[in-house]
Amino acid sequence: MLMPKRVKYRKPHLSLPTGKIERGYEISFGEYGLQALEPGFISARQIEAARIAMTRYVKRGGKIWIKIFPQQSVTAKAAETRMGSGKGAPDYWVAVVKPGRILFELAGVPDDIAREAMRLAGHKLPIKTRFIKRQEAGGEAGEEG
Amino acid sequence: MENINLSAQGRERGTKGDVRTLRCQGMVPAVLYGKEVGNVLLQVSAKELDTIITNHSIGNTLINLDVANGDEQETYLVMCREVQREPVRRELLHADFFQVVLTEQIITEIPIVLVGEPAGIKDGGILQHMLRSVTVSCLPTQMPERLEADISSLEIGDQISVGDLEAPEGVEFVSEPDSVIALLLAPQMEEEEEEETEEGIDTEDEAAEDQEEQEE
Repeated sequence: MLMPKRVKYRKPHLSLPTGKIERGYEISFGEYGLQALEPGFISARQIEAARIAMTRYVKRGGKIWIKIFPQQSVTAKAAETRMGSGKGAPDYWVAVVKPGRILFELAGVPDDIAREAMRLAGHKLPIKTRFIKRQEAGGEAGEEG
Repeated sequence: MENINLSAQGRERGTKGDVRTLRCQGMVPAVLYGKEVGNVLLQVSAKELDTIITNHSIGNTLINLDVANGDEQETYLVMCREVQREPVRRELLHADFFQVVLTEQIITEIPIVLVGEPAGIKDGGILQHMLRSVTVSCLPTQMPERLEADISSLEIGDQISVGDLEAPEGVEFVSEPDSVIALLLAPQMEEEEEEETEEGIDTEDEAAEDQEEQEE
């Protein structure tokens, strides 16, 4: 699973982001994308589950890009521990996502396969998502699917 | 090169609220700049601008912009330099127009269109389109609408780069000649084995972290 090699602070304060994304909302590499519509934390396990769902559906065809990385740690206290005695140990890693962020990109497969692969991937995530595809006519990326 | 007409009205510099009101009325705040015209604040119809952007490439389309400012009416030959959109709803937020001088060279982006089906596709190759536009320097009158890259001879592992494209007359490539436009990748295998090894690394890291905690 994805996790940072080294972090500056091991136990950060985490709060759900407000507002929408200011960059990273265009498809950069592939033909199709999965766009977040809500803010949220996406764990490394969920990213991996979504990737596996997509890879299995497109089988050997296509190329997948993961556009998010779980940079932040989430801490948890051990079970049956009394409150106090400091903050818990890092438990898992999450990517902090704002609405508009492209989470995954896909290329090299037909439209219907990409749409279904992204739908399956979206079901592994804790936020609402939508399928978008690159718009070729104007040379500009981003079209609602 | 086809010329397109767009009408615009001048506007005063206002607050964020004024600009939002403008957008609610179906208009898009815009700016026109250039050597001769300076900076002019405009508003254009969102619907008209969206139609132009959808049907044409914004980097290489010349637009006749009719600007009505009070009683004055002037027409400028412009290019749309940048368009800002709302990230989720994809509504137009702002547009930049750049005044074009027909006798001066400009640097702009021209879209690349891939032509043909690669020969290696039959063997399971995956076409990866890396570069979708190329930066060129040319006179506005000599701007090509699009550049075609023939990929029909690509086998698995082959690639086509900017150096392989033929530049039309009067057009000079600014992009590096070795920038890859498209390549044909070998088919990917499912990566089930990798997961196990990666999990192995994770547990090692966790063990190292636990050790650090104990030291603290």
